[in-house]
Amino acid sequence: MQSEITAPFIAINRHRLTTDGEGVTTLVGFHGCPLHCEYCLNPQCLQADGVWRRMTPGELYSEVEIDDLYFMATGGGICFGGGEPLLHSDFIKAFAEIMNPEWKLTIETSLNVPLKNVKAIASLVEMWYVDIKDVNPIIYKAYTGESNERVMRNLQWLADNDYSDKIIIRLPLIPKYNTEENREHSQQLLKNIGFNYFDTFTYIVR
Amino acid sequence: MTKGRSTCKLLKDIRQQIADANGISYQPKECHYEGDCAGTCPACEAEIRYLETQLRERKRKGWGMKVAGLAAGLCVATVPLTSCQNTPKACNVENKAQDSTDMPVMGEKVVIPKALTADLKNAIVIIGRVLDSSTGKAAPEVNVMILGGKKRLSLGEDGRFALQVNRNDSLVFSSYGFEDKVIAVKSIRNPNDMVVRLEPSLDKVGEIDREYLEKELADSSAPQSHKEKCNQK
Repeated sequence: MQSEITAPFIAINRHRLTTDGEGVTTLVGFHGCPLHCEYCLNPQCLQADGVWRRMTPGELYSEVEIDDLYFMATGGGICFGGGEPLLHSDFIKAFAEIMNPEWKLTIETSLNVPLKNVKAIASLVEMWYVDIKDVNPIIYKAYTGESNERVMRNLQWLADNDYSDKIIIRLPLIPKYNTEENREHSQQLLKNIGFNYFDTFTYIVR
Repeated sequence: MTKGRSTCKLLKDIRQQIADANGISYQPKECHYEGDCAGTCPACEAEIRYLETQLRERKRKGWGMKVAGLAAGLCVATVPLTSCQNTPKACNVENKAQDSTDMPVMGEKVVIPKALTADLKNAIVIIGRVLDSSTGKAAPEVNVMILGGKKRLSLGEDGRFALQVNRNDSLVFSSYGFEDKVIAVKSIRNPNDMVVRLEPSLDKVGEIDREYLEKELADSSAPQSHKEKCNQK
């Protein structure tokens, strides 16, 4: 039975090659985010008129199914990003129920959502890309406008429930907000929690 | 090469791998578009839909599909059921043809029948070849299975076969681009040298009917679930 859930989207990008996971992937960007980052890559996700389309899981499937064979042949699938995809965990769960079960799901998230949203889809996700900004709560609040308490709680839950091998923690160098020393501190703390895969990079200032 | 064109080339390579792995005739049109490319276009979309249609047809015929992990090197591809497990050493076959293969003359090629039946009591060995009726030459990429059965055997390039089957079976010979042929074992007059002639199908072979597919893309409502897509005709 098709779900009546709908969600707002900012874009669908097809044929992404290994940037959002293995193989050929389609990036599906949700509208809406709990954060207000200064260097946000997709600022339309916070603008009221930034919604491109509202869709049900079935309608989203119709949009992405044309690449079914590429997904299967390359071990790819759908990457949910945005915006914050975990604000729409119910939608992702409903979509996972109707999609080709051979597709892989990846998530690009800040993890700044209620724990129940993480739990709802944890078992469905092949790979997580978690941008933690910085573990220092003062730096985090200054850059995003929000507390990182939920982020750390969710990371702990994921580590405690053996998901750490599926998680790549993204550690950005954020110009004017953190330093290399801050980043190394973040990495060490996260290693102590149980995470082993990190992606260090520098934010682009527009 | 721009990013779009390199994406297009990669996707075309994947399509070719899928076609080659599944015995699908696929000759993509060469792209002469010189502008910047998004990585796909209606022509490329029509080609992937063509492959989907061909794979769906194969699935309907009970043939296996090789897609998963073909271009990833990570996943094990799904292998179609192409060969049988039993060997003639386990058989007591009454047919004289089997006796002759048990005692080959020097220089004579040994023919070992593939067993498509586990019923040894009513087994019979059929030896023969499959030809293209329009050319008289060996039909390409022929598959043979028992009607209603699950095991499928792929024949070699020479179209020759040696099968151990039940006398009450019917054999289905099929090849892409040809009409399927069903033959009751009981009706075979010469089981030692059976000749099966396959008639070419009237459908266009290998040529992607772009106009039809592009119209289908425009007219059709895309499926809203994997289940719905699998049930498409």
